[in-house]
Amino acid sequence: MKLIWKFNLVLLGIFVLGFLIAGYISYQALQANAREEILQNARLMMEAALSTRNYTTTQVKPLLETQVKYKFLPQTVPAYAATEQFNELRKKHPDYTYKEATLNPTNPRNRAADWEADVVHIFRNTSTTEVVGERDTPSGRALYLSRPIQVKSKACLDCHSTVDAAPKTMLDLYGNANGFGWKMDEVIGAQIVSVPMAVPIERARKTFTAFMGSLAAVFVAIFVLLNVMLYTMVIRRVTQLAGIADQVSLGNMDAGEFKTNSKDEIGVLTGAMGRMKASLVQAMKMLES
Amino acid sequence: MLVSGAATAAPEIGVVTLVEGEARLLRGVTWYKLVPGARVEEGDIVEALDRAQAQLEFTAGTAVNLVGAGAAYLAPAKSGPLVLTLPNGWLKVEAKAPGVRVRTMAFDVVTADGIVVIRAQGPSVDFFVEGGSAKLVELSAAGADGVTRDAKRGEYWAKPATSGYTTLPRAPRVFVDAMPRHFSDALPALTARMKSKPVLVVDHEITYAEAEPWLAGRDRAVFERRFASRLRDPAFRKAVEPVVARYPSWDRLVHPEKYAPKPVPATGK
Repeated sequence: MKLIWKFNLVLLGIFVLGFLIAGYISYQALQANAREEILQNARLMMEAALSTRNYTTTQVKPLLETQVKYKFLPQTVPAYAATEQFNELRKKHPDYTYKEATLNPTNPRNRAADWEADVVHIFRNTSTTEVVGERDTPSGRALYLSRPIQVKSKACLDCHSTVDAAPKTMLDLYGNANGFGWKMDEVIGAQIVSVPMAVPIERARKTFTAFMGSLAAVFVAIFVLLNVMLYTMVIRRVTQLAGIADQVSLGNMDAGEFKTNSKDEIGVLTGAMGRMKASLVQAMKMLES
Repeated sequence: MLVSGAATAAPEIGVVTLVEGEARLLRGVTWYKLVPGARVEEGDIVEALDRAQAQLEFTAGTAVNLVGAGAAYLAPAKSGPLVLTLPNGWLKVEAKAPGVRVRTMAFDVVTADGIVVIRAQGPSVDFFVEGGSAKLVELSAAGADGVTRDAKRGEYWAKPATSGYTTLPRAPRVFVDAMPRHFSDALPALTARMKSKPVLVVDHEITYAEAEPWLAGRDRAVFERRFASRLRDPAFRKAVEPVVARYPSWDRLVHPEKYAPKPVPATGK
């Protein structure tokens, strides 16, 4: 097997192995980054929802306390405020969702769906404070982040303990069938933020493709360059040297000269073979004479 | 002979802290333009014209907001709660001790610490207890205090002109929809901003048409005495003459000849 083939096989092997290892590592890293980015987005949105809840409780509700005695204003309810704030955001980012999924809600739109109820039951049955998962949605795969909604303030029970204790204006709006019987410290629902995975994952895939494409291009360039250099600097000169040496060994002293201007290893070898040929020619002449 | 009706100085009991729209103040027999900062005295009548509002904050801390078309008479009260007569209009009361007694044509509402919204439309009156508690004092046929009912926080009471009392555990939609929008918020405390004391600008003397509802109301005797000085005004007097029989004390002033001593017939020797 020729030297260049051996060289190329080894080089190709190294390149393929390196390509696969780099591809595996970068793919895993990019996917992990994408998931972490999705999770960070979800956490940020969860914090935004919590901020809205707190703002509503501490600043909006006190201002509207009097008005609620005449007409119930859902704007004073933290869950309503957080959901509405998120609905505004959804006008531009419709794939993002936020829900205060509740097992026994006052507002029917907060009633937990089957899978949401499962999440709520995790919080009710364990001491878990955060649940992260993935699920398929009509718009693609989505990551959800969930935290428990626990009755921690007696203010919650003003509206949700019994029908008799609830504000009459609230009953006018929502009726007396749902949203009662809550107890202190009870987990009554879960805040669930759902973030689409498609965009970050697609972005990670594009980054991976670009990276692997670049890596392949670099490998190909190196491969070609090394082959050109090997051919011009080694193979061609050694082949030429071997051809002359072969002719000389067969007695053809006119096969050519071992000429070189190079001072590299092949140049030194060429010089040495030139001197060896000259010595051979001189020895032959001495024998003939 | 005409009785002098010049108003005597009465103690200041509060200050007008907010005026929106056209409102005026009757002191004695003279209407003044109502402006923020004006002090109110016992005996004053505050009138808010259609959709106007006037807020009064009293020295004891009680605040009331009157929305027109309506008027409130600050009746003299030697001690005890502030007394307001409300023949017409919307009134939101935020009472502080010793409280307020709002007299309407149908009943009185008394509260020491409550927040009450009252709508008076002559003999038809309803109210909602937004906070605290209140008492509804029925009027006897003679106009004296009758049966007293407790009105708790969140309760609505009504007495239509032609039927009996009704109550609900919440303010009905029709009441809330008709209520001035700002009544659904707490009344702002503005007294601290009223540092200057504006000079009241006279608008005009009360006319008979303006005086007539008061002369026909629960304090008719008080207003007959108070407005008697206006009989010196020919226009007022002319308006009264056809109906002077309604005001027995004025008949002597309008027709003094009827009450002049009759000449004793001369007796012959």
